Amino acid sequence: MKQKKDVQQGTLALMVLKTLDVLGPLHGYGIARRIEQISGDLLAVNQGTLYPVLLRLEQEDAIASEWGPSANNRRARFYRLTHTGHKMLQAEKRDWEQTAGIIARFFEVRAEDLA
Amino acid sequence: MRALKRLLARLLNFATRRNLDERLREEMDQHLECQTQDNLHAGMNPAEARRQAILKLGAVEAIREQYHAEEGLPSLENVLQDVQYAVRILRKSPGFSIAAVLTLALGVGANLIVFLVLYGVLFKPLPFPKPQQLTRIERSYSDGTTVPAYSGTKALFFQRVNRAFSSMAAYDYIPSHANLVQGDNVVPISVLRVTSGFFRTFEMQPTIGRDFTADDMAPNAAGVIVLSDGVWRDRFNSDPNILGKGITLGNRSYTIIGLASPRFALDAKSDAWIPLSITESPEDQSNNYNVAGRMKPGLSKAAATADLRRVLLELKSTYPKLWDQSEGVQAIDLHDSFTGDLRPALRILMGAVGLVLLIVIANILSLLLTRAVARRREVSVRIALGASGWRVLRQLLAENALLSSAGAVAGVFVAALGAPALMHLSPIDLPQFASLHVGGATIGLAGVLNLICCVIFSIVPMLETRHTRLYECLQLNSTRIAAGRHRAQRALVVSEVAVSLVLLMGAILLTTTFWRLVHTPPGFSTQNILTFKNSFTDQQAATSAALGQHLNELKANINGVPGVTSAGAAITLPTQLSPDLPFDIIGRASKPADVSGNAKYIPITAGFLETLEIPLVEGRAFRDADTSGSAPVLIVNQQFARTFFREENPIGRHVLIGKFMGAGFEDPVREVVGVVGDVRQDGLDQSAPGIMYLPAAQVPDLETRAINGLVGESWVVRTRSSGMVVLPAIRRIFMEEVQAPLLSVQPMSQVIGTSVAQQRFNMILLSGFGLISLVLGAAGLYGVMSYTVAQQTREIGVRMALGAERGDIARRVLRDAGILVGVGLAIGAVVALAGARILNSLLFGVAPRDPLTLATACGLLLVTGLFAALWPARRAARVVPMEALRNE
Repeated sequence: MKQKKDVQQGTLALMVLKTLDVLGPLHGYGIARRIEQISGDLLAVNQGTLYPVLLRLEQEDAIASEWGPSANNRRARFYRLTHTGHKMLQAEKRDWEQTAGIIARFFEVRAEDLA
Repeated sequence: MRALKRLLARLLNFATRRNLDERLREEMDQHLECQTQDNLHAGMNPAEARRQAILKLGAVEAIREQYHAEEGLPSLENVLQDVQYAVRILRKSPGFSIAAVLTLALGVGANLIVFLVLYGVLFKPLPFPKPQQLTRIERSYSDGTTVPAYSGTKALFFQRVNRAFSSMAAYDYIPSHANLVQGDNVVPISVLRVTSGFFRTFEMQPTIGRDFTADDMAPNAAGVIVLSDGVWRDRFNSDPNILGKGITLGNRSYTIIGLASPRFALDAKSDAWIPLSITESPEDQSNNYNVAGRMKPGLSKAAATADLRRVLLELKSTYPKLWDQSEGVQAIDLHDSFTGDLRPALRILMGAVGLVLLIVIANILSLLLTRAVARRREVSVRIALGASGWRVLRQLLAENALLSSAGAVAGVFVAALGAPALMHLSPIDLPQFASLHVGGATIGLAGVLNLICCVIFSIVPMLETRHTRLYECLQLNSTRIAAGRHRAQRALVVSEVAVSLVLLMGAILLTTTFWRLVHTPPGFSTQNILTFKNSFTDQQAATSAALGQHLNELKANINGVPGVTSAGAAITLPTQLSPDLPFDIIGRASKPADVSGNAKYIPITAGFLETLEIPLVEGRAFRDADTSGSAPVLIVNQQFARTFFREENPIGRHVLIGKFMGAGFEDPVREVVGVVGDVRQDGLDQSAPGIMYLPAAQVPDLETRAINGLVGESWVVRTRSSGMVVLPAIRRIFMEEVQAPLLSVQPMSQVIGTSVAQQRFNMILLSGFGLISLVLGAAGLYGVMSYTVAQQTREIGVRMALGAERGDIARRVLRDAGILVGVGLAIGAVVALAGARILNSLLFGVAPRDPLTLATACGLLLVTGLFAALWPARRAARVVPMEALRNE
């Protein structure tokens, strides 16, 4: 169970990076909504778990944040991708594609292929 | 790299205590508001929009926890939190905490103090370089006895012929007294005579100046002296240009050639060192010197001993008269030779103090068990709320660690306060003992003890969390009937009682020993007797006739002081060191050894025996008229008469003392004129030896000079009231007549006291441990009984409702306590009787398995135990049935 959470957290981080890469600076709610729109149920509930991930990414220098005015004229924290974050996204993306490729091939294997 | 960055950020957060809580709260508020807005747009009513938003955000607390975990250093923070919580818990029950910390402080403190003594005596190396090379050379005999004393000739021969030692030196058996004359001021100091190479042997070269050389030892060499650091500071104001200056000891002049290192000290304190003028002679039989040697590097004691055996064989051809077939030789560790006779007592103290620690631990374990049961509901609630077993355990461990650490710290303080007092009390006089204090090693040991306690204490909560069954503990009255649960506690109390019995028995045995010792009739009177020593100059003691004259005049003057009833002198006092000399009974067929036997040799003045009230059994006492000119006479004691004359009457028989002691020591044939009562000359715990008393004025001149140089004269003065009143007058007499100060002034009772100091030390320490164990054992029993009664309140209520009498209830509790104590006593008695023999060497006048002692110790524990159970029993008897039953 713990492992699954780690995977989710990892993927969530990747989604955050990709979202910021595509859409530019966003506040927490904005990021959550985009991810919800694209991924469906992964972030339909427990959207709050996003914030620890954001903090971690920020501590890793992958993203930076600052206060800015939100749509409803309130203060909101806006996150944007940093140069490090960009490089991290590229690397993660490669890793992910590689892993996904391997797993995909694995699932396609049939018994006679191994004979 | 990424991990490192994160760690840095976390550390920074942790260090600066940056609180990101505020930011998270604001962000989540914002998030909620946005979501609510969107929900409203989607057509929900405001309340529902808000509710859905909150649901979607998820568990705020969990998120905050997660956020927090990302933010700082979670494990360290948790530990801090655990400790904070532990402090709060311990402060909430101050009674328990204080009791536990005090108990621990006592146990740890006692252990640290004993460790300090033990370390100082057994483990701390002698304060000399490469101490493992230092040995003392001893004569050994086939029956296992060893004697460390050697004649000057043998010492010089060993020094000359050995191949195993890089350096060897002989020195006086005990330092002698000398009077340091500085103008009108005369100060007594102790002087040790040593051979050349003495300081080199210990590798403690004088800080200024030089060691003695062979030339300094020549009989007609100019007098030279090495001063101790203490005398140099106290008497010469740390004069930096001291070398080459002259000083006067008695009537002799010495040139100062060196200053000893301040760290240099042997087992007896010396203020100065002068060369020993000895030369080899083929008939030298006196055994007056210690021999110490430094083995060559890498050599074992066995190899050194083998080499010494070879030297003895060479002695046989060089000095056939000095060679004795039965005499062997061995090199033993110098440190061991200093501490040998202390070891048995110290080992027992170490064992006893270990037992005290066991009781302390058992006591605290019992307390912890009680608390653990009482806290089961708390623990269950925490587990039910989602705390993991590990988290709960960690919390309990933090409490224990805190508790035992506080105990250890307090223990260090106890040791720091108690150690100086104990050192002061202890009769141990060793060079490495002076610099003992509570330091790194002691604190290290406290840490180790702390760790051990901590681990042992943790067993309780570990068992506790493992066995906790939620449903059981959350039931409201589950803790009321918990019969099986305190089996562990009862076992602890039983073992506490058992260990207490062992300690108490030891304490009572040693107390009895001491009591018997001080109440042993020493064979002489100790009341109203003042004692002191003095030494004469070589000139004053040049001949026995001259010395006898001085002694008689001094005695007459002392007798003239108002308040003095009688006075006398001898070379030594009862219970102090005295020489043994061989003698021959004239007219009796000599045994192969050429002598009839050995006996104590004590030259005295007339009046000595009378002053000490040593009874005259037969014949006559000495008179002032027994001088060098009159017929040689001798008085023996009853033990001597019994051993060597059996049924014969010794009066009128003739005895020759020290036949083979060499020229100048030759004694005239003496007639036995009197028999006196026995005196415990070797100490109260030793049986009375055979003693030969002879008039001081009739001793061979050479021997008088040797005795005067070595030990001086000891005086006994019987006074009507306190001896201190007459002291100034006596001091004046000695200054005027022989220009000598008085040394070691003390009442006779104190001389006796000094002779039993070791036994007193043993008694005090073990009694202290026994008392601690008694109190702790009682406290443990009280705790368990109170707890049991509290647990059984409901049961007692039911019993009373069904008609039980109050007396029955109280008796039940007392009986319960009695069973615990009884089982403990039975186990303890078996252990005590089995282990009693190890005390044997320390006891006097009482058997190690003395039944009376065992009964006393058992009775004491039983009474204390029942007393401790009395309060719980009364509380049980006062239970009001209705309240007990209602009180859920």
